[in-house]
Amino acid sequence: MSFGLAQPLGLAELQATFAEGLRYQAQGEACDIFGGRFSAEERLQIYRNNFVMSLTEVMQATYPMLREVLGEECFNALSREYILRSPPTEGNVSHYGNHFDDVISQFEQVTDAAPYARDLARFEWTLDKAQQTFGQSEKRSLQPLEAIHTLSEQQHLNVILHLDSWVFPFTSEFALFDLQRAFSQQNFDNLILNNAQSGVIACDEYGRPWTKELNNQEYQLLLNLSSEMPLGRIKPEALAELPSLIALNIVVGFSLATPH
Amino acid sequence: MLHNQVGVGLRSPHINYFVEQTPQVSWLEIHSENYFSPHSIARNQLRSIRKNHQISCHGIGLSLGSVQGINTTHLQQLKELIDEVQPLFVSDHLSWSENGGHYFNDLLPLPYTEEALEVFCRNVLTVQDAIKRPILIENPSSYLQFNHSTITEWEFLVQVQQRTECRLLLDLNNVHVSAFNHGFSSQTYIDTIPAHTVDEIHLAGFSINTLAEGEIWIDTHSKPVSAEVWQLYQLWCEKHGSRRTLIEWDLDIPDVEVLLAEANKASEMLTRLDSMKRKAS
Repeated sequence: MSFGLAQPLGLAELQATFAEGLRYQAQGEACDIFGGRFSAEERLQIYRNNFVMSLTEVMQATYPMLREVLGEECFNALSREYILRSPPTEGNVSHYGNHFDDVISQFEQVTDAAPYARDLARFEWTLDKAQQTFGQSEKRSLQPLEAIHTLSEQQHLNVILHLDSWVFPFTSEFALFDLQRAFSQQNFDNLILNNAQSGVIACDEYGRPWTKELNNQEYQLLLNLSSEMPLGRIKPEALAELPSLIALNIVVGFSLATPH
Repeated sequence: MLHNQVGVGLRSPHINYFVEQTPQVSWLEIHSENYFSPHSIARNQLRSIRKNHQISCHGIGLSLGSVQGINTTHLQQLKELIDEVQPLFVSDHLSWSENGGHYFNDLLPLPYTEEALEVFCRNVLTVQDAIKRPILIENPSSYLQFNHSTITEWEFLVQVQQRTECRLLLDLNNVHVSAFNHGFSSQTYIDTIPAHTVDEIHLAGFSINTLAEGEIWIDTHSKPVSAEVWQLYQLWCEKHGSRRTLIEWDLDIPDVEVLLAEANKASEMLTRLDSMKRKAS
């Protein structure tokens, strides 16, 4: 076997140029492609198409509701824009698609026609994030919830309730929890999207995602718990909703804040 | 039950089927990256499936041809999966997919040069050192060649095998598709690959893309295996004996019965060969 008959394009340079070419930032001719029957650009275009189409499928799997409401053509065009701007940064693309809402917000025709599209993208990404995070327990020593009864009344004020790391508060000016229910039941009668809704997005013990709309006080309490606020600093009207949040099985344990 | 050498690619629409049904194939091939998250629903389903099937871990994300080298996080995730699943094979492709921290989720073509060969072999050895077993390298389909390539793909592949002692996964559909796209002989390619280095064969379908200048064939894995590829498969097995054989179907995925019917064709072919061999001996 003999090498070096031609003056080879270095591999680093070739791969960098080819990668630019995939994102339409370089032409096929710059990659020293043998054209033959087709032009170098036509041959590179096949790889561009494969790159965009394979990741569009990933986006379709992450954003099924958004795809449905925007329609295939619009969704795929937005995905293409997103993919070319932000290719994956890891080989495992199962959870590709963060910040899709930023791309949507830059297309006025889309946000005018579907003002809820950006929030729906955030909603579906949060569903995906809950699944990505499921099972990843932070290494912190927490006491079980049952042990709270052993604390003094004074200590109760310093209790910090910790949520599972796959529990996320979600709020929107649109009724996205209702929209999700309508999708799952395939019944869109009486759906009014122009209602603000807040709630929780999390996973069950098998890693399956679930959502629940919360009332204002429940949501406020969820935000307080998410920010690890001691119970003594939470407004009483929010704290009154504690039993309903605990019933959702999202509190993993507690720790005690150092009293100031 | 199909011939024990024949398996199918495990894809998400069929996962519940393979969790719930009595095994009809002895082994299934997964796309490793889809099962990296140890607590995911998919990984739990894989644990159930593993009880009744052998698994092969087929990767698309190691980017073995990347000049930058192997992503250690990716490799660690793969290793954890392998340690748990104890797969029949671990495989990836003669290609690259990463550059500058971006992953293009495709099997991008390499120039067949000494530099690329050194890079590829370096990366294969890194992976084999980490997972403590040989990996299988699969020949890709390709739609372009580089002017500065100095050897053929099949010569490159043989060199990789010899220098790293990896094993080979011979995708006959990829040979067929690339042979058409670049105007070489499938048989020349296949005959150059030493049969004793091949542990697995892939079979799949392709699509035809028609441009103004003519056809280009695309390895879409979206159709039944073509008659020509079945012919290549039969000839190879008659000459060299059977190997683990996988039916891949990744796009426009059909009902599981259609997939299994396709696998059954391979199964019948291998059963016939077994019977002929018995008679001959």
